[in-house]
Amino acid sequence: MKASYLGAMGYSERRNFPIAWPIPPAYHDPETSVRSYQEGMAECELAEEIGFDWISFSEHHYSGRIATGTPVVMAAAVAERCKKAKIAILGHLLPLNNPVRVAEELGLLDNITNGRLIIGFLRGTPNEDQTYGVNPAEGRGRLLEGMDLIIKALTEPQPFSWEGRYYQYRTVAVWPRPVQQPLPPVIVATRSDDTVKYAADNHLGLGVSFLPVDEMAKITDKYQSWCQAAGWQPEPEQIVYRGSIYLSETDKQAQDWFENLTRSKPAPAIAMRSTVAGAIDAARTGSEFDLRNVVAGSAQGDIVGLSPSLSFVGGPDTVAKQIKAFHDRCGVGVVDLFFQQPSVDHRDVMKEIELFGREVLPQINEF
Amino acid sequence: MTLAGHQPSGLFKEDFLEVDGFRIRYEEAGQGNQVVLLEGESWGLSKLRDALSERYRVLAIELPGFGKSGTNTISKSLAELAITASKVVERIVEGKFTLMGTSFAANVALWQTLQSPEMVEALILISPTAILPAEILPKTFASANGQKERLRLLLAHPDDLLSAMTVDPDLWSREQELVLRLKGQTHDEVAEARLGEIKCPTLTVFGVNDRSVAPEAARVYAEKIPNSNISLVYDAGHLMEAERPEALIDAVSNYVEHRETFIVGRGSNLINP
Repeated sequence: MKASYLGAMGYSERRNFPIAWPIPPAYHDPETSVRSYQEGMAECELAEEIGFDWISFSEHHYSGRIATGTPVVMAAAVAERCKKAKIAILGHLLPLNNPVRVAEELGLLDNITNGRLIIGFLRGTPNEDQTYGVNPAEGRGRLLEGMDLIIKALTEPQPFSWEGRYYQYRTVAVWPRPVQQPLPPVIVATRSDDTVKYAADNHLGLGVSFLPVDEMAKITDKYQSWCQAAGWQPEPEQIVYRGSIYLSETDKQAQDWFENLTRSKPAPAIAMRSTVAGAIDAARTGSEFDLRNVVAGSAQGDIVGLSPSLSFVGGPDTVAKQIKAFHDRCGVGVVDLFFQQPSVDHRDVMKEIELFGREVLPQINEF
Repeated sequence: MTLAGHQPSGLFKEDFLEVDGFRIRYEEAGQGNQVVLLEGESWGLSKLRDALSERYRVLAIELPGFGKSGTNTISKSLAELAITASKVVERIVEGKFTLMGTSFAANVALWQTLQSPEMVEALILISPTAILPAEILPKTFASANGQKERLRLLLAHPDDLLSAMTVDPDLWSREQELVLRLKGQTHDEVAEARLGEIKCPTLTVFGVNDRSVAPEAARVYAEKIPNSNISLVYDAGHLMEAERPEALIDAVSNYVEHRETFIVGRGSNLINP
C-alpha cells in the first residue's frame, strides 16, 4: 500500500479564523502567509524524503484552511522541490472550471513533472458551488460533461469542436499533450452512484474522502462490481482514500489530544449560515427552499457546517491497523493523509510526518 | 433502417424526378443559401432539415432504395448511387450548394463531392461510416445481432428513446440489404485515399458516444481533407438528431452560414450593458 501526503498549505494562524465560510481576506497577513506556504512546502519535502509515494493537492476556495484555490500552481512549485513523488491533483473542482483550461493545466503539469502527474476530478462540497456562482443544480451535469471533455482534450490529436450541454468550444487543441500516454492516471473522487459508475465504465480510478470504513466499503463494492461488468479489474493504486490523521508516539497521547480537541468544541468545517446551506442543498436536490419559512435565531446559532472528523488517530501501530482496515475491506491501494489538524502547528506536523515515515510507512508498505 | 411513421414536414413541398430508372422523391422548403440533404435511413427524424429550412433553401433527396422509394437493385456501388444523386441535383439546383448526409447518406455525399467537386460549396458529413480504421473500430454495427441490438448501438441512451421509436421491420431489412450490398458498413479504402482531393470546406460531426463508428474516425477526415473541421456532440450516439438535435442543428447551421469561420465566437457574454 502507498501513502500520499496532502499538501494543504494551511495558513499557520488559522486557529484565529472566525466561524465562517468564506474567511474574510482581512484575516490575511502577508508575512504569515508567505511563511505558511514555505512551511507547507517543507512538509511536502519531508514527506517525500521519508517515503511518501504521492504528494497531493486539492482545490478549495476562499479559506486559509486548505489554501490552494489553484492547486496546479502549488503543485508546480512543490514539484520543483520534490523530484521523485507522484504529483496528484485530487482534484480539480470541475463544475467550477473551464474544462479546456483544466486540460491545459494538466497537460503542462505532466510535462514539467516529466510524467509524474495523477489527475483527480470531483464536484466539490456545497459551498464550492458559490465560488464562481455556479448553480448547484447543474453541478452533477457539469462534472460529467467536464470529465468527458477533458479526457477528449488530452487524448485527441486533431483540433475539434465540442457541442456540449454546458460547454461549447469551436476549437480545442490542447498543447502540450501529456507525457504519460495515452493519459495520466485518473481518479474520480466521488460518493455518488452515477459518478462511481462513470469511473468504472471508463476504466478510471476511484477516490473517496473522510468516510468510515464501512461506508466506504459500500461504495467500493459497487465500484468493483461495475468494473467487473465493464470487463476490467482496477489496480490497487486506482482506489484512493483521503482521511484526516493525528499520529502520536502512543495511543494515550493521541487520545488525550483528541479529547482536548473535543472539549474545546471546535468550529464546524465549512461553516455557513443555515439559510445559505439550506438554499444550496435545495438547489442541488431540486427541492423547494422558502426563506420566508425560516425563523432566524442568533447569529451564532444560525451557523451550520461539517463536524470535524478524524479517520486515523493513535500511536503508530494503531494507525497502521486503521489504515489496513481500508486496504482489506475496501481494496484501498493509496491512502491520502491530511495532517494539518486544528491546533496542530507546523512543528508538530513535521514530527508526525517523521514518525509516520519511521513507524507507520514500513508497516503499510507490507500490505 | 427507417422508422415507420415518418411523414414529410408540412413545410416541405414534395415532388418526383425520373433519373437512372428510378422515380426519386425529393422535398423542398425555404429560401436563401442552397442546402442539399441526401436522405438514406431517415430514422423518422426531420428536426435538422426543418430547422435549416427556416434560414436556407433546403432540398431533401430520398436516395433510391430508402424510405418510400422501393427496392433498389440497380445501383452497383456508392459511387454509382452518388452519380444518380448528382443528376437529381443538376435538375433542381442552380449553382453551388452545401451538401450533407447522415450515416450511409454521408458516404454518398462524400462520393458525390469526390466525383462532382465543382458543384459542392461545402460538405457536411454527419456520422459518416466510410472511414472505419480497424485499430480504432469498436464493436461494429455490422456485427451486432438483430435489430434491437443494432438500434441500441445507434443511441447513447437507448433506454430513454427506444420505447418511443417504432421500427418498420420490412423497411429495416430492405434498407440494410442495400447498405450491405453497397458496402456502406465497410471501410472504404478508395474514398479514404481520395480524401485529399476534397477542396471545399468540410465539417465532420460525430456523437461522442457513437458505438457503431468510433468517433476517433473523425480525425482521419481532419488529417486528410485540407480545409476541414471536426465537431463532437456530447452525450449523443450515432443518431445525434434523435438525442441532441439542438446541438447538431447549432453546429450544422453555423457551419452552413460561416463554413470554416464557424470557430469564431459571435455570441455575447455581456451581462449588464
